[in-house]
Amino acid sequence: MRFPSRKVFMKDWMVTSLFLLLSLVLVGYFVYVCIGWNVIVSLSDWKGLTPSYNIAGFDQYLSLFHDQVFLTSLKNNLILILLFVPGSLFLGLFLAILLDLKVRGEGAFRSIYLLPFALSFVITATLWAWMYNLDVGVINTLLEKIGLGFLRPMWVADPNIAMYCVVLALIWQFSGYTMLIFLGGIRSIPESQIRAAEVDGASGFDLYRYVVIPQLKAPALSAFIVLMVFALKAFDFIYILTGGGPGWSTYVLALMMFKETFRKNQFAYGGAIATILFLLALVIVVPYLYLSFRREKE
Amino acid sequence: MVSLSYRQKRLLSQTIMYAVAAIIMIYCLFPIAWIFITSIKPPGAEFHIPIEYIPSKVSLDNYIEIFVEHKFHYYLLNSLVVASATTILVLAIGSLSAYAIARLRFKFRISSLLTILVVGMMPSIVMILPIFLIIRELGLMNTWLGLIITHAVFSLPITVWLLASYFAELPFDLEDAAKIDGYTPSSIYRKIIMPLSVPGLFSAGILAFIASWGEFMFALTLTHTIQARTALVLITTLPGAYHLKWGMINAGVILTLIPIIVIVLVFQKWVMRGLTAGAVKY
Repeated sequence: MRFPSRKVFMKDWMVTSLFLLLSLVLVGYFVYVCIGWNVIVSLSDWKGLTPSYNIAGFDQYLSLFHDQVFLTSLKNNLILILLFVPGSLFLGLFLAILLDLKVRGEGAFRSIYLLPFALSFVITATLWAWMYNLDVGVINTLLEKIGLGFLRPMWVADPNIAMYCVVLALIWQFSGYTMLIFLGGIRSIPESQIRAAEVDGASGFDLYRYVVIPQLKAPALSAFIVLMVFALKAFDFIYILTGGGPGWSTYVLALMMFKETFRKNQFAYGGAIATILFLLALVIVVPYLYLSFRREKE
Repeated sequence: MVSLSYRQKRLLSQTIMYAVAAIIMIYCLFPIAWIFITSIKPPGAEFHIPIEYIPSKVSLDNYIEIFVEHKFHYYLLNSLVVASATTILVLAIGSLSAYAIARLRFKFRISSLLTILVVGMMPSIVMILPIFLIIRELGLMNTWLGLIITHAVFSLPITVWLLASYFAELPFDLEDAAKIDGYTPSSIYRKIIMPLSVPGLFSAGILAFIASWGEFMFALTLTHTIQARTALVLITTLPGAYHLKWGMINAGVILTLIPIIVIVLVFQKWVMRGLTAGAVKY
């Protein structure tokens, strides 16, 4: 028998670093260096097209908190966290329980349920914009048909409810995804446990309440993280559906950052918003990764 | 109360089951079906009141218009080239790293993995201005390549994650045997791991393709003209004389939707595995 020599091990080490190098360089440059650069810019007074790295300290951040648009954006991200995240989770759980039955052709059903999530935000935002259309939108027309025509909400054109219309549409897109996550979780519960509970007389609601749902913590957590991160970074969908309007009623942090940077050339100001967004994302991601990789090591 | 026989009960529950499945299906599909119905009405008919749920006249004029007036095929080509090249690039880079992380023993294994994975959880808009400046500096503004590189970076996390978990499931005996036979790590990778990993590569590749095809923010900022702009970005910028030409917009949506529907239905097992493994949207 021939054991790998020391030379092969040296080569091992070199090959490993080569294998990793390209990914790490790309990610390092395009992500980590960029984030750092962004922080520096956010501390400067760079406006307009010529770079300026004059240190302005926390001026940008201070003015952010006096900016009504920023406060509205922050509030709207909070609405996403408080309504969109639980909304998608609960609807997904509800749909998963409804579907936790042996249906023939389930594979086909599943891919149809997942379809909205696989679609680009460009497509889903466009189709919701068309459905919310005031005069010929299908939602208002259907309302009229069932005798609720007097309501005729203005949907995304009404600054008071526009953000909630965004939430509704997003829940539609993500509920298929959460449903499948929960369905996978339900299916991985051993059949014997369900049987045992049934023998003990648990059925219907109780079976789910006491046996199934408590075992869905892991899938719920991973879906929760995905949704939370999305609630922070939401951009495309809102940019296309409402453009932030009417007024700035549907602005979110990412949208405000984009407009400050690319429409107004307020690079330092945009950088400050981006930095805040980055820090908020860290608050969600770091504990999650810490928990899941600590478990992995054990 | 009417008592039902076992058979009747079974029939009833079966019926309810399928009814529920069908209602959820309509919930998911109705908006897409509505787009399609609008797109096959004659141009302008989408604004007629009362709305026709089933068009009395079917016309492909909206589709013809978007190709003739806006040269939509060029934008579709841009999307196709960018998404395919992104897929190939990210598989090439990502599979190497995934292999190292899953199969080789070295000190910074977990930290390397985390360094790459965290990217997938960061709002990519945080990096948009520096990336915009880098791409401009490199002279890649409004080119396929600029968008390909950017998309590849943001597809790396999910690709590495999927492939690493795939590689980790392959039996280690294979490598031990190969090492004894004198194979080096790179030849193990090429001759043993790669051929066994076709399904994993396929699954990761499909996701990278879907993500790149549907990406909006970078495509909007890094491309500007017919030379490189992707089909989906064009749809959002279609002009209208008085109001938006919704028939034509919807025709564009259907055209960009078809590849995704085909992929999801044909490769459902692979897509499912990847989509539920993590967020693919960056």
